[in-house]
Amino acid sequence: MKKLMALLLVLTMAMSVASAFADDAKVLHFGEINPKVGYDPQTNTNSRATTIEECVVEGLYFWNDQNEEIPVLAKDFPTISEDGLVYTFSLREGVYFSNGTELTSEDVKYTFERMFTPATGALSTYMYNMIAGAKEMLAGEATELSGFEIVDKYTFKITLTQPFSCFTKNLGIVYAAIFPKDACEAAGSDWGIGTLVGTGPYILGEHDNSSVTLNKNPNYWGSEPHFDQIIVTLFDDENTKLLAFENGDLDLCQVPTDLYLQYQGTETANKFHIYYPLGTVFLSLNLSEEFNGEKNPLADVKVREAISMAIDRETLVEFIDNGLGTVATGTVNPAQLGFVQREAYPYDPDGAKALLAEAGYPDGVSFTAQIRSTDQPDMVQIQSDLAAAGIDMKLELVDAATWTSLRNAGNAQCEWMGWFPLYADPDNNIYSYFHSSNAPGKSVFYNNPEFDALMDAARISTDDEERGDLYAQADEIMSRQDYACIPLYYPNYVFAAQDYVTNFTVGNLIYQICYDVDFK
Amino acid sequence: MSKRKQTQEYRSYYQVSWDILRKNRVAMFCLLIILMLTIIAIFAPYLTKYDPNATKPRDRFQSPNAEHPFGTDQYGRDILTRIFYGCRISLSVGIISQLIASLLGYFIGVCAGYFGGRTDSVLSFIIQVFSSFPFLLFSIAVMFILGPGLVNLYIALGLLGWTSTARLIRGEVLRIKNSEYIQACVVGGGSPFRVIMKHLLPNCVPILIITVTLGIPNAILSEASLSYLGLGVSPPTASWGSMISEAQPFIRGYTYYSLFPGLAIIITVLSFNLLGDGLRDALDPKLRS
Amino acid sequence: MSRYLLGRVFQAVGVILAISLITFFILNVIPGDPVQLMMGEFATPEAIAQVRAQMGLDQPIYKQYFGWLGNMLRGDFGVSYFQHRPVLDMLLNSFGYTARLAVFAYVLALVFGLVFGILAAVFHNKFLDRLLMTLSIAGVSAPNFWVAIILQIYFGLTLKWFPISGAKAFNYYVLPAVALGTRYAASISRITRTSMLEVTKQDYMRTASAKGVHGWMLVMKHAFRNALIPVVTVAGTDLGNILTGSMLIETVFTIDGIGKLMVDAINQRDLPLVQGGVMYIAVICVVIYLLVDILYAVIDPRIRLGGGAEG
Repeated sequence: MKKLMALLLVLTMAMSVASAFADDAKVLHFGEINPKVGYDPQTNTNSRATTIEECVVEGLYFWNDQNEEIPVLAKDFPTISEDGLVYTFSLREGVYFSNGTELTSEDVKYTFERMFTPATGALSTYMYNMIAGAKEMLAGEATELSGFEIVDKYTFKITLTQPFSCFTKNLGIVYAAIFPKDACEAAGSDWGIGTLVGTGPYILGEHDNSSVTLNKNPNYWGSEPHFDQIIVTLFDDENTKLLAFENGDLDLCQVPTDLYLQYQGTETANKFHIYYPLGTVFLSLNLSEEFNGEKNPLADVKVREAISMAIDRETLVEFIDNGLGTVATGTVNPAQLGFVQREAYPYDPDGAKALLAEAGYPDGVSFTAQIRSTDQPDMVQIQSDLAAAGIDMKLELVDAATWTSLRNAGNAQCEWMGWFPLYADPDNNIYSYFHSSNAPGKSVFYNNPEFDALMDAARISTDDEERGDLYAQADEIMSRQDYACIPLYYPNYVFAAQDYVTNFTVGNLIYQICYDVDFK
Repeated sequence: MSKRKQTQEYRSYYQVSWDILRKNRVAMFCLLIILMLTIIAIFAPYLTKYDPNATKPRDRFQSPNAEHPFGTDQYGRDILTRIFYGCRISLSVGIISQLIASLLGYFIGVCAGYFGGRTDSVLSFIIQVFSSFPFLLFSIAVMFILGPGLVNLYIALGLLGWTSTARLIRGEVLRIKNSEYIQACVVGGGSPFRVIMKHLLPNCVPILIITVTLGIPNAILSEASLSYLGLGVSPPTASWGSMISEAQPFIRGYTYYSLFPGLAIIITVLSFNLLGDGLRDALDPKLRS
Repeated sequence: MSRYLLGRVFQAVGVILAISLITFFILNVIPGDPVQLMMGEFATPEAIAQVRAQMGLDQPIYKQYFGWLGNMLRGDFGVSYFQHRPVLDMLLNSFGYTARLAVFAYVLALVFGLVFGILAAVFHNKFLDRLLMTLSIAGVSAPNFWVAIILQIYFGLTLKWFPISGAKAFNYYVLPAVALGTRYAASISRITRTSMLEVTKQDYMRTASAKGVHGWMLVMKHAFRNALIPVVTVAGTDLGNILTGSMLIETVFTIDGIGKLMVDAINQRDLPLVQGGVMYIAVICVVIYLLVDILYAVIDPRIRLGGGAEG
């Protein structure tokens, strides 16, 4: 027994490591769920990782919280040739990476070539692969990017294979952040794991599975960063994260919608702030004629309209999502180009039944939704709504990896989808999801040439007013006539911020903590 | 020889066991609980006025009250009703998976014990391999491969729980193989299958009864663990494990939600464990004096 | 003796190889293509094929297996698909957490199990015995992840005595260790009680009792020592189970141990990590069983002859 006690004592001493506290440095404590994907913005698209990456690396442009694009490493917006194919950029001069090397056109070229090198495993190449030579590189046929021409140290030209009005917009996403050639090459496979060097306001310090320390970049080219240090504490569990916030260990963190309700009436609820990101939650449907060798009822537009009619969106948003959302009237989000205020979708279970009968299904229809455990709350409620209208939606609970493979193989019939664009242009979420060239990879198979033509036209047009019109028409066709998906609601984000935190806003999917946030 | 003793000698092995078991008040009480749970599972729809799956969002998160003795969940469904329906899943998973496991365990154990030699070495090796696997990880993998669903749960848990049965059966067969009675059958030209089914099986039944009864609670706990990880039956089907998992985000505000399904698991598992202990005392000849 | 030992060691190596083989093939039939998951939904089939070839995943399965086995024997467990770090480093790092948790839980289980078991035996058939045994059987019957949640609610949220997740200091381990140890404390107390009672029935105990040794002295001096042998066996196997069974506890308390690493890895289809982790766990398991067997053989020489009935 004595030995056991001794062992216990040793354990106690071994484990109680005194933690050091910083004295009077200005430190922001941000709480986040551990993304576990590394911090290389080319090889992950995890928005939680992006929040951290954006403190360290910067791109040519940047989308701020107000959904405006501003030049960052580029001096100004590019000059574009008449045919819309050749873009000329000039870099801001005298910008240094935090390792002391100067930013030049060479680094930009290296960054894009790294992205298109198959071994890198970059995820977002689809946003940039209209650069001439990108597809050849991706196919392993070339090692140099033919569409990238260095004019001088600070000037370069990028040639596209076809006009694309959103190219500069895509450059404002952190996936196109510029890396220093020498440091990135030297780091090799450690890039984004142990090493990440950029021009950003903070320098990546110590980081492991429990926290990431970001230290102020003393030589930052822009205005002085607000904090000496940002410490991102990583959690695996939302409940725990919120407890840490309640304890005062965190200054700022996101509140998941399902945890929101139980805080009502508590003091913590006064520190909750609601934001309106750009995304839309919808039911993603498989429109192909056959599914699993059987006739697919979802191929019939009347069935899809009946599904829409059978869902009580008001109740869904008010109760299941705790009021954190606005009932959707289309797939384009209110903050996006091309949004039009439309009438609410009707809720009419009897009308839905009648519509099913009209479509030749007087006894109702049956289909299966593939869901992940996080999709469960909305889907269980929708299932119950649909059942009342004679629509039998079976739920098949699968793990996230199986779910992704089913979708990619076109073997998913119906999914819950929260789809967020990275900036306010529908090209980023509507084209990438519903255009016939993209839809199959998402198990959608929507193919309406009229819709495609509108989306393609909007891709080429450079007049935002005209583009807005095109998107409004396209959304009308897709969401209100074809019911290619069933829009449910525009979700809200909730953040918990201590009283002394100021200037925090959320404009899109990615929360920015490195520029405006400050303490009173 | 007194008359009383004579009648006792005619009583069969199982009658004697039953007498022993009947005197075990704890075991009998547990048997009663198990019978009640079985009744609940079979007649669940008649015991409640609520639909287990239909949602009523306006009634959500009611603390236990007269209308809803165990309260309601985040969709406004009656928790007591869902526990009744969850009983179906737990009991059927426990019983069916253990029937599969004991069938598998019996044949592997009996083959190893009866044939001996190389067959025994190979089968014993297989038993050892399967019992050295990290059980939960293996069942996660099997559920990934089979996909969600009740039948797949039966198979996954049945495929994994057979090793202890196989060991015990093998030991028992080794013990009785050389008895004159079995040897006589073998010499008399009985086929191995006939010997295994007709003569060895009856001798192994007590062991099978014990391992099934003690395996059921383990299977119920495993089902709960898998459901907790989101790998059991698909929603909206109620299972105690998935109810605990659905309740977890709400532990701060709505504690009762995770309490009741957990208690249901404990009561069920406890009853099977204690009944199993009682059966072991009653059926194991070594403990009989 | 040494021949028996050698045989057992060979068998253990065989078991580990068989486990590696089975794991490899299971991971190959699991749905969810890791390359597709790595490259995202916009990747072209050509790009996927190219990365697959780079990773050697286009080779026949048996070639992949022997390649992996060869590397592993050289100490190279490969690199995690998603975290891009060497698998062995990740395992070693996580093992620290699991080991601390397991040792703590094990100490708790031993202390409480033995004390409860002895008390129950001493007060055989009295109220305390009944109470302790009821608690034990309840402890064996409760799902440990549920115990964990209940502990979080009461000791973490309501009383605020302990943190409810993470593993930053000693006090972080208290609740997880209790949740993990409960089941084993219960089983150890049950076996301690049973074997103590059996020993008390033996002749020499009756002699000691007749000689006038009574109560606690009798229990501690004579019964306890002799009752310890079956306890050691159960406790030995339990150590293996604790080390490998902390998966759900680590998930509930978000401790970065092996168990949680494995659950996350299999969810992400991080195949090298799962494969390496299973090997790691299997080796620990098999080695502990081997040691228990050897210990047994040393204590009880009859085992060596048959190797039979008890299996």
